[in-house]
Amino acid sequence: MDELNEMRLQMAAMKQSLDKSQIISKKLLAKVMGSKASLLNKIVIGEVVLLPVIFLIILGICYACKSTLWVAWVFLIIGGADTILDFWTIRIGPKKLNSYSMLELKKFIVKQKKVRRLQAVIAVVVMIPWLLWTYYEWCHLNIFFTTLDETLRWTILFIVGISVVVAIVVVILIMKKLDSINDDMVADIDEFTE
Amino acid sequence: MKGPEQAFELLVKEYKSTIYSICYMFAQNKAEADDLFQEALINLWQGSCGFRGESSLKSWVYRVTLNTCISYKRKKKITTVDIDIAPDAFSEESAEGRQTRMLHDRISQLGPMDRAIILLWLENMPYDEIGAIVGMNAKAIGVRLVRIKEKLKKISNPE
Repeated sequence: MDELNEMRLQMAAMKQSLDKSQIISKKLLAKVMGSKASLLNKIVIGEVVLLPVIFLIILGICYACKSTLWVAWVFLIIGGADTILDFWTIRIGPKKLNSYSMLELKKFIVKQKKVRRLQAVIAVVVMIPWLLWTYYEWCHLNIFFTTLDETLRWTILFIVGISVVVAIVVVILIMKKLDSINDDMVADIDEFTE
Repeated sequence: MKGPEQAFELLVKEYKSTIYSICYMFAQNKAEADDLFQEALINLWQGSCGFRGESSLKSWVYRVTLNTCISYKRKKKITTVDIDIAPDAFSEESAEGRQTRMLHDRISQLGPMDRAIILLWLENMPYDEIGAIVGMNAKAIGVRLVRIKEKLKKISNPE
């Protein structure tokens, strides 16, 4: 067991040399204590902030188009449920890092990724009928919209269409980022079971 | 300074070398170790209010640091504060630095779980305490350690 004793000595020497180092500065401590959340937490917080803003915009359009307000309320219910779920499927809170063993953390991250995929599929399935319904309420049933000049009508539809595509692309990019973060973790975790 | 901040400052001063050495062994280079170190400190700070003393403080520090290393997002660069470390500890020119590099090279050839177990063993931690941190029983740790030691022997003497 010479190698292991040598490693123990190397470890002790390294720690001794680190003990002599400053490492912890006032600036670092201030930065650490002032930190609020990690990237994953920020994404969820961003959603919480964005949801009421989008809801109010949709509500405003509903008022302007004199269409049913249920379009906005249903959006809030779907978006709210999705955001609540994100607290479980995206965040890795300090409590979990605090109390989970490494194997428990591994199981949690793998489960989180699986549930997030399922959540994304359900969100798409629910959002497509909502989008079609919104289109029907705002464009088809709306007297103001149907009496507009055809060019203007198509321009509005084009702008709305582009906005929807941009929103979908942004969501896909965020999902890809989350997946790549989880994939990195899972790649490490897979080595556990070797 | 208020109570929790002062207690945290004392805690990191006490365990700074332990935390940094774990981070270094999980990182690919010193810059990544600095990132990991800062992330571990953030997680320790955010989790310190929830620490109820169910395990020893040392075990808790190891648990949070190892979990941070496992769940660390490599693409995210977070270090904004320079971490001042004695240059000898990591310099290729000093005997001390070469020893550290040798240790890193050996340990980094192991998988993350084996790396965690051997690091805890090198710290003279008992099997049951190692088991509580990684989520295995003491007997399984013993078996795993035998395998790790064999792997390390092969790494040191490839023929």
